[in-house]
Amino acid sequence: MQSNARKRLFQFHKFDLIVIVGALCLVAALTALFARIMHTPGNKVEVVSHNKTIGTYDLGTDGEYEFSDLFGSNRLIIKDGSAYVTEGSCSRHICEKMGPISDIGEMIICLPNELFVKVVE
Amino acid sequence: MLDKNRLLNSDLALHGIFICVAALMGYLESLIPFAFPVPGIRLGLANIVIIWVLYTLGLRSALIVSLLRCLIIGLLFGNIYSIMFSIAGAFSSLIVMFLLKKYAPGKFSVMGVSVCGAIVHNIAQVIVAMIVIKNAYIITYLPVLIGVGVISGIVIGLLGGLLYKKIKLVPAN
Repeated sequence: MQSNARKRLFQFHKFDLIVIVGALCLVAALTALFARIMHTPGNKVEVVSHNKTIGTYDLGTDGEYEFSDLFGSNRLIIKDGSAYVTEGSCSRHICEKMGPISDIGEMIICLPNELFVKVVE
Repeated sequence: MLDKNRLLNSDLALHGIFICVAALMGYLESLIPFAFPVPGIRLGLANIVIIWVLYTLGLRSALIVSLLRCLIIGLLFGNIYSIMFSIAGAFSSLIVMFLLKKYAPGKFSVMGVSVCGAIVHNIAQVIVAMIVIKNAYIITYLPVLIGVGVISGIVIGLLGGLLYKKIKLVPAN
């Protein structure tokens, strides 16, 4: 009986399938929902460092901005209506892979430097 | 099985080994030269160890190994945020896996339990991210992370199940 119960742990069950299919359905539903809500192009990016807004820039104007403090530095580039970060001083450079962003609510986050770039309006 | 009321020296050694292996798994994973298109996505190799410990030694051992691993890896390689993220994910997924294992026996395979754990892990991390960054838009990451959770949960569950099946020997106290 004990070994039978143990054996069942390695077989594929009905409930496994239900969980997997259910999760994939949830993914599809959420994707459709967010795609409908989210894709609104924004006009400005807001740069937040250590919970303080340190600058708001127009997405329509191309430009390069450098942000540095004790924690490190990041370079923000605005080009062709979207914003992205290059040259993060952080170790894993995740912020550089997060852009470009142009829709409202999209964000580039550099956690080591506590720098958030967010599209608004 | 371990004695519920006592922690013996041999238990300490055993847990030390598992914490080590789990921590090493995390490091091993960082060596995989494979860049995911979306940041923050990982396979979670360490969870193979956690699953094996949960099934073989029980919840208490799994909690000890899991939380200490998060703390060690976080203090060595991460920062306060990465510790928060990993502990939130590890703790919630472990609780869900334990509840499924205990209260729905025979209904889920190891893989099914692992998939549920992975999904809850990712949901918990999104919630922590929303609190830390104070931005509700982070929730748009959720579909991607749940999808990835299903895939990594299947892989990790199959590997963890295989280990549990093959490694039966636990040192006697």
